[in-house]
Amino acid sequence: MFAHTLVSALTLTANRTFGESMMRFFNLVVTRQADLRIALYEHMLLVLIPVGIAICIAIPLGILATRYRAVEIPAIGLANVGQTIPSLALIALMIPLGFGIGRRPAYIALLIYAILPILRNTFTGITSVDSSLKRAARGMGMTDLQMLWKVELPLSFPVIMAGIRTSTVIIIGTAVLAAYIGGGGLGAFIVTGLGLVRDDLILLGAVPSAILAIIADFVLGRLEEWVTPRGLKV
Amino acid sequence: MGALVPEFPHCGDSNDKHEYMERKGVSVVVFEDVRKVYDDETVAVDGLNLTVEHGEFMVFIGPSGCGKTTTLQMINRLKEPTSGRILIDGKDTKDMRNVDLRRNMGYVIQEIALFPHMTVAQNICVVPDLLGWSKKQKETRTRELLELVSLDPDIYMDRFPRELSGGQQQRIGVLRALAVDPDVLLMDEPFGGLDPLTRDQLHEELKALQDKVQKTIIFVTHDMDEALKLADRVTLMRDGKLVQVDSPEEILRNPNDEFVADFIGSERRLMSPLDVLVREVMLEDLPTLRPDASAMDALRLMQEKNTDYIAITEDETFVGMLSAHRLQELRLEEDPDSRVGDADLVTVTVDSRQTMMEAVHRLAETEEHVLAVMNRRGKLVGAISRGWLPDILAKEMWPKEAAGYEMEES
Repeated sequence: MFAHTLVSALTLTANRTFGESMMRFFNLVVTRQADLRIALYEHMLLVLIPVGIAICIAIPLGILATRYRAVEIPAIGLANVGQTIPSLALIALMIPLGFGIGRRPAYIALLIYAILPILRNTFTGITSVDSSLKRAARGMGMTDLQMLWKVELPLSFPVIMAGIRTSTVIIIGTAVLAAYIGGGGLGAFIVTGLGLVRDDLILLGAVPSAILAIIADFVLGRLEEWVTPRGLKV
Repeated sequence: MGALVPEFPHCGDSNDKHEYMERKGVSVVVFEDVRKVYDDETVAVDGLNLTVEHGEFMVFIGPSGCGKTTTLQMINRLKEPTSGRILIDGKDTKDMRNVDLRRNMGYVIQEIALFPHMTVAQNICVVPDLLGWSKKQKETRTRELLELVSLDPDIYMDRFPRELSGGQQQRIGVLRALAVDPDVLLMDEPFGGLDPLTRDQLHEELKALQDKVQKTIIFVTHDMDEALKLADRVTLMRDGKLVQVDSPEEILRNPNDEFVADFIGSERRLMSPLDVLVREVMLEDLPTLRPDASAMDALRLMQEKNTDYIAITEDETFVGMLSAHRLQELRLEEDPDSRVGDADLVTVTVDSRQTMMEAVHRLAETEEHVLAVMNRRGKLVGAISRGWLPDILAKEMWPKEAAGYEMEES
């Protein structure tokens, strides 16, 4: 059914000129401003909540994984496997898994997706700190915690930030799919647009989410640069 | 050394302070039957027994895989001995907390490993930071140390490692190890990654530094030149065992076996015979007489021992050297009763730790025929005689041939 609507929507869109569609889209932005604002707000929550929680889980987990093999193998393994599950499938899976529909299952699905890049970058960031630096740190009498705070974290911070950035941008896109299980957000316009075969509605969901992704990427890129220790900048 | 220690360097907990006060002198490191077997059953170090003396510059050398780095890392417990003990100032390192042990010990490695996100000052003050020094103490100490290696603190303090040359980076690496004025300095091929010119420069600086700060330095290298240049004593290792522990001069002259000789290689021929220490070649077991002995006895003793000098001592105290030359001046035919004490005795001395270069210079300068050699406590231990010089030089230059015509010592 989904494929069918998609095909008819595409046919329909193809029959119109792009300029026409854009005009109808801009009209819609004005007339449905209030709806757009709500959807945008919902969408940002769909991104900020999962990414925020993911940061709190993935960074400590990534650090633990560098310390204990018992954590490393399941955590990194799951992260890698998890990343290979298609995002739509992961979101759809929430229903048979018993989470039902609505925002909560959407948050959970997106959280699982958000953890992966941050976890992986935290782990690789810390493990790729030059082993001679770690030897020097230990040889000078740092405890494990001191080494983490004074050497490993500052040096891997840019890599961890890059993970957060990747995660955020991915989630902004993936959050669109949350609408399929009633998660709301900009995806709702797209789902409705596909159902009603209205390309202006599709654009009303797609364009703002794309802009959101671009802005997030830019801002977080800047932040990444800003947190890079001065001594590491070329 | 006092100038290097800022006042009250520890302002952390009182324990630290107490510990600092206790360890005033320089340290002695003792290995007792130390053995290290890795998980894959390779024996890295096999029954090591060795004492590194107070303030000694000890160089560990050997081919790769001989266990020298493992030995070094067992001192600060980056690696734990499988069996045996390592004592520092009589205390078993096992009984100390890892971090306390390491903070009281400088550690310099080949990779330099300055923390790239920290400035020069922050790098130098890593250990002071761990010990909780105040900002002011840290700054004073940083300035002091940078000046020690002639780097202008105002220029370099706030630079980042990547803004420095390799040589400058390792200077900071050494300063970082000296920050809390530790007694023991561990150096693991610290200059291995530098170009030869910079390395030479750092050797000179390290020697000058050692003269100033007098640390017990344990230095690992595979470069024989470096070992001979820096060491008070060299420990040669192979397959986890000691092959020879000796002064550089002794290793050069008397390699224990073929392996040592091979390892020394061509360097040994490059060493000038005049670089040898006086104590290595001086004539020992001198014929001795009291000042009131008769000149005739002295003459007989010289003929009997086939020597041209006699040491004149009174109650163990050195009075002077009587050379054959001076004995003639007594005109024995005219005055057979004269005593050796009447002769114009030679009182020129040379320190046993000086080189032959200095001894020869001394001989030429004073126009004497013999020099008395004194040890550091001012006791007579031997002599250098003009007559023996050619033999000494020959033996140094062609040690193998010289073995054939061993000097006729008294």
